[in-house]
Amino acid sequence: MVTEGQPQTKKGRLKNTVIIFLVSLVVVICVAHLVFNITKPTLPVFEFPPIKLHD
Amino acid sequence: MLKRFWQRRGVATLILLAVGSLVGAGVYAQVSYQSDVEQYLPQALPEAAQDQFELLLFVSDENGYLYSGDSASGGSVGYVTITEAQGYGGAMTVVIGWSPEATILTLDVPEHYEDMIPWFQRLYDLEFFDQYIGRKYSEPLQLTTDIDTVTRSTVSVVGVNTGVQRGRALVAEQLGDPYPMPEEPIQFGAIEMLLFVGLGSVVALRLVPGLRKFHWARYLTLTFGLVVLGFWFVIPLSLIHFAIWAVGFAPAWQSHLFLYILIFGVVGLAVLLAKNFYCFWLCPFSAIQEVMHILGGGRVTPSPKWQRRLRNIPYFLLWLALFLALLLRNASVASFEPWQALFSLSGTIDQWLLVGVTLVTAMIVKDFWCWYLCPIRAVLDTILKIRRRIKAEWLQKVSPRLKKAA
Repeated sequence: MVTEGQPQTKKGRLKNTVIIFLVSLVVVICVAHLVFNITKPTLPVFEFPPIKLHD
Repeated sequence: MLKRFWQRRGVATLILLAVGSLVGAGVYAQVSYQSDVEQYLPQALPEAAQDQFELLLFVSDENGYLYSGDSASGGSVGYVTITEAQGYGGAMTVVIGWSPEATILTLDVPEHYEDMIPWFQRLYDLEFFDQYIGRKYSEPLQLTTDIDTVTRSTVSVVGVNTGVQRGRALVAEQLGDPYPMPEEPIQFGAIEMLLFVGLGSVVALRLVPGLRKFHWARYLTLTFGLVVLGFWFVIPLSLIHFAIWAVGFAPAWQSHLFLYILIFGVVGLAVLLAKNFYCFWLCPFSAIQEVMHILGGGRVTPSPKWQRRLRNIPYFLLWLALFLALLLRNASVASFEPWQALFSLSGTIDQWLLVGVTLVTAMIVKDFWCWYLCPIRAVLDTILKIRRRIKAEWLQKVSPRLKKAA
């Protein structure tokens, strides 16, 4: 396991890059969604039939 | 020098700026808010002449208005009621045009915070409002018996109906035939009982010494959360549930008892017992992510340095969402979590994109959303940190006295 202060391996750097990219991607989507909540553009809505577990 | 200041006071400065900006946004929104209800009068009663509306009654504690409308020749053409009721994201303004005999002619909700696309739009699409047209004030106008509700939009439907009933009470009083608001029934049913069961089970499993060894039991409570809070009742804890209190629109406890149990149960238990009993134990989205991780089997984790950095992102998202909600006096804009679309099975393209990316990533990164993005964990962690700080300071104050006494 890599601890702080130890030099990172190539694999460790790749893992960091992958996670940073994925987190950034999701942050961008979240912020875009917050902006859409305010500007209310007409976006296509996708619906599935509700699961009838109760009335 | 700047580096030294950042190392010493950086976090405290950021917290101060964040809290200051939230308070500032809230104060600005409250001070600058103005509602001009009279602009809705001509549309509610088109038969009346433009300047022939007269305010007959104003009920300040409910923000209820009753106007009479006259024609150009002076004859009465009806009434307009403007009332407020609680919706999903805040107060909604319900405007009704009544005939002189108090039959509903028009009904509209020109101001509302039900922006959870497409839930409020469903009320128009399914002609929910049309059901009220032609009804007399003396009719019960009860949901499910007289008025059909709209699936997935229940809170908005209850809000509109409450606004109509409040308007009816004003008109009825004006006609000398009072029709008081019916007492709001306390709704205690299956979901409220199941919430107590769920929270109680997690508390027992985490605190009772004999039960703590059963690590597999966490999967039971997660399954419970997934089925009950997720797909059955669709009420996973969301930032919007905290934002409505911050914005100042607390829902009626009688009709939203489950919400009070969920929020005050989770927050109250964190304050009392210093543990987060929701995340990783009851959260339905956490359950889904764990299933995805079992399916994917990936073991990607960032280095400790990046882990520490990335785990601050939920606090940024929490601040941004609350800031916007406070600034716009609209709790529903704070909602950006993927579970709204996933569990209601209805969402816009960006919501589904968020669901997809998060769940696919959860296959390679364990509890991806929980650790690096979830605002609910940020709220609960903040509560726990404040609690620890207060306790530490209290102990620091008390311990010298205790030592002295000993």
